[in-house]
Amino acid sequence: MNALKKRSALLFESGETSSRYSSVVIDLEELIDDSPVREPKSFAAREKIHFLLEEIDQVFADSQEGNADNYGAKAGNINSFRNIREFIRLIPESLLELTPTVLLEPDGSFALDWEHENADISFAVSFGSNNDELFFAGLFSNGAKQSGVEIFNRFWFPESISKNILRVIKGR
Amino acid sequence: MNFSLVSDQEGLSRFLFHNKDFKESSGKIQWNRLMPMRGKKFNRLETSIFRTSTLKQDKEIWELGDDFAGLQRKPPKAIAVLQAEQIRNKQKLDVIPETSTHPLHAVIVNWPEAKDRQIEICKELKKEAKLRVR
Repeated sequence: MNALKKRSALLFESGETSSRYSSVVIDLEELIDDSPVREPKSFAAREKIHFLLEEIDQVFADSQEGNADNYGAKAGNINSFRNIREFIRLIPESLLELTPTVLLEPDGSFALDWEHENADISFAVSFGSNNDELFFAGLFSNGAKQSGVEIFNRFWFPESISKNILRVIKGR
Repeated sequence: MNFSLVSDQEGLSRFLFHNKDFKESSGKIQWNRLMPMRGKKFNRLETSIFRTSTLKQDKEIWELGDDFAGLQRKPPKAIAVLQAEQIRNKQKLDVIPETSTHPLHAVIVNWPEAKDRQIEICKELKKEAKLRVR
């Protein structure tokens, strides 16, 4: 959330702000729950979650003018933004051994990507723009592949997703 | 070079404009930079790419990117290079010329509608793409 506020302040100072952007910031302040993560976690895990949330906020703020990829990417989608933040807060501590990369797709959806040090083993989850769908795909050892769709209910972490993140952590 | 048909052996370049679009240390691009967008003209999913086999010098490739790749004129930071055959080996994907902006411009088409399948393909292409940093 800090990144959004900083970005907002900069835009106001520079006089670049638009009513569209201002309203987005106000909406997000109402949407975002900044209370502590849902389950007890170690200090290191909370630090990682904090880092990821800051990164998501920064990607969202940077995307608001659109065209983040210079191919016409849409601005970060609010529904996808909200779901990725909720998802991060639900990640079990055992899965935080490997920090995912935050990515923004051309349609404005956010995604998380876990990559083993052998970059050919990886797994990604994309957060739908219009609903609570999670689209996932992974490439694993020996040419194994997995892809599918899950529904994110915001209360527990999907098992199919955690299994695949573990495969990346273990390099299998 | 046959301008109306992209041959399997042709090298194709996707220009990347930001440092976070690739990891120089691993020589890999980020898969999200290959994801398709719905083109307005034909209402189909497309990924913009350039046919760069005929450009023998690096300078020519970067100049092409400077002047014609992307929506705004920005110097590209890197390119992801793939052969047309590598793209056509992924499900039903094809590469076809789309010369409205430049004679060497092409698009990757026939993307599946399912988002999870798109991500899987982009991850496979990422594995095979050769990164060249400017």
